[in-house]
Amino acid sequence: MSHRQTDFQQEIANFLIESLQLEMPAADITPDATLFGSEGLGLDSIDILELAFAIQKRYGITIKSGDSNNVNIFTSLSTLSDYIQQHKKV
Amino acid sequence: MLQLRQYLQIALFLAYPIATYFSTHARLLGLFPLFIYTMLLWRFARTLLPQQEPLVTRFARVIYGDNTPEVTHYTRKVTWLWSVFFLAMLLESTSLTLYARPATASLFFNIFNYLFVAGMFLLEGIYRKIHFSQSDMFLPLIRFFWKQGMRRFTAAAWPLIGHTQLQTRFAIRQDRIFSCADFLNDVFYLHENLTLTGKVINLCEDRYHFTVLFACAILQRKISILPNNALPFTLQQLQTEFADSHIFRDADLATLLTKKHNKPDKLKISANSIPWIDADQAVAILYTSGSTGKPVAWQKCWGQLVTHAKVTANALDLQKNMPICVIATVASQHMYGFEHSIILPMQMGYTFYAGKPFFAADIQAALTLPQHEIILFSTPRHLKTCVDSQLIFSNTQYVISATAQLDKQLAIAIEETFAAPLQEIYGCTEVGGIATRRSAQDDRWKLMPDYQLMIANEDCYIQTPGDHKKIKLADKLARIDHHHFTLLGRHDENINIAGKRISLTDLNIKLTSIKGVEEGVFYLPENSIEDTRLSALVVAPNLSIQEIKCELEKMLDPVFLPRPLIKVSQLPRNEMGKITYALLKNIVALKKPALFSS
Repeated sequence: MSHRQTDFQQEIANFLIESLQLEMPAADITPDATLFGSEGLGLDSIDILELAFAIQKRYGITIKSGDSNNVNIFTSLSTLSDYIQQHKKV
Repeated sequence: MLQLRQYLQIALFLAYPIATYFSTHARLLGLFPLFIYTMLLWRFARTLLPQQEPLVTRFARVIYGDNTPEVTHYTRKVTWLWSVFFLAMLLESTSLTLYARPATASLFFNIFNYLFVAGMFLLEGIYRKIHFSQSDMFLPLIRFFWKQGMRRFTAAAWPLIGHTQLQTRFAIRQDRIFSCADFLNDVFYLHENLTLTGKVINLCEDRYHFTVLFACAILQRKISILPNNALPFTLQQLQTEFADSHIFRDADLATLLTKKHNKPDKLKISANSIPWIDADQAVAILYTSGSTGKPVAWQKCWGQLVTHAKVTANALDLQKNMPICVIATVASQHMYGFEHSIILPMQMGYTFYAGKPFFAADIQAALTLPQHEIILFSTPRHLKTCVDSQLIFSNTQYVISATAQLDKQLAIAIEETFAAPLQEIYGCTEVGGIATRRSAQDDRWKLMPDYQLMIANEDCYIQTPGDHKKIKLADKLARIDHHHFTLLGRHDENINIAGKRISLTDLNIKLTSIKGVEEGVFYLPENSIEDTRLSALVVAPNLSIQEIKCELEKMLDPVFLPRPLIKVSQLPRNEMGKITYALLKNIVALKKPALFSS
């Protein structure tokens, strides 16, 4: 449980900021902090939709709710990075 | 006011003693029993036809509030018994009238026949007492008639589900198919094992769970509360307002129904076991979305919902019991989702998909369900994601969009993506669906069949076949002809800056009319003081702020020019695809400092 971002997490943090037009420095996203809900970044389900689309465009991963680990994917920066790293095609 | 039929009945009743008094013809004596038994036979036997509620079943339901399969089964038989009895009495009276001596006939008509009827009552009562261990055989019946008369028995009622075959698929989940028989068994099981003490706050996301609980609440005459969201604040408010209410979620239903699946179904149910519900029974409370202020509660009666579902099906050109599966990306607790993904398939005899597909790939996967023509109920937000995803969506018969108006371009793109016609529904929580349009071809909204639109002093009212009174709309509509209208905007959007008036809708139309602007919305801060400026959010990847402002200056009085004008990649929308005041406020508050510094 580190508070420092790995290189790939940094890339994903930048990608998050960029695709969701968040007004904050990418380095401020703690890898294990919640992304959604009133705590964390306060992102909502529409952001998830946007993000899923952006991930498909950038990394070629089609995200489905049926995936068993889906609930965990968007939990935090680190879970999201791990998922993308494992599944990316480009 | 009495109806013609009632006048005729009264006339016949009066005609009989008058005729017998003045007539020397004794045969006329038989007219009265003939008439009475024909009427009774008609009343009882008619209700044994398919898709009808047997009369005795109705008595049991209205008086005792009981509609379990056992009682439904028994009361149908009793209805049969009385029908046969009245037929026999009719034949007996006919024979006596034609062949018996007047004295004999009179003895039967005035004494014996009444004894036969009393005997029937007594025998049935004793049988009921033994088999159902009912202590008071006739008292509730007499008391009820004394107080309410026939009114409650002639009132309209509708069956719980419109399916005619119990093996028809009622709902589909990824791993399971539920037939109508499965559904009814689950409902009756829950009805028997779960005593609801007050209103039901139904938060189930799984549509099958939602519907089983909803149906159980109806059978126990409890109202289902369907809140807009499940935030702790909302639920706390609801439980304060309705102290006797109880919250149910998917996990509760899953637990309750798992217990059941270990046991075999207690009774063999048939299409005759489908319970009937009074049209005027209040069944649900829904809330307006709050984009125009505080959420307002709207109570819905069973008849209203059923009638509206039938009208909607008619407007969409759908017939009853077609092999249709309804898939929806919207929540069952929202009026649009409730009407179309729950009530519509329930009443029209369709199948519904229990899940709520979210990502484009989920929708694609749900559409591959076999053996069904699919109707997808969704929102502009979800449909746009589908278009953007460039996935292939097959097997759809119809795509329906509601909650926010689609523009023509997107409508055309959606039709191409799904290779199916797109119908938009315009509606509100207060009424439900009001009008439809094929957005790729027509800008005009077409009123649902038999709906009346009344416009008086800019206020618009809708009168529907299922409602007793007309309902005022928050929107302004302009009538084109008897069946068509255009949407002008909402009443509360008129703004006043420096003594000049304009509607936000008008501003938004002007903003989005600029070439290169994909989407845009104006925002007026709360508690505006005299020199308050409007803000605007705009999606225009290829235009600079300066270029947009330049275009706006051409169309708008300088007081209405937005300061700041904020470029965003997309507009903030809630789950229903609506742009709410709160969301705009957040984004403007977020963006302002950054903008000033740049």
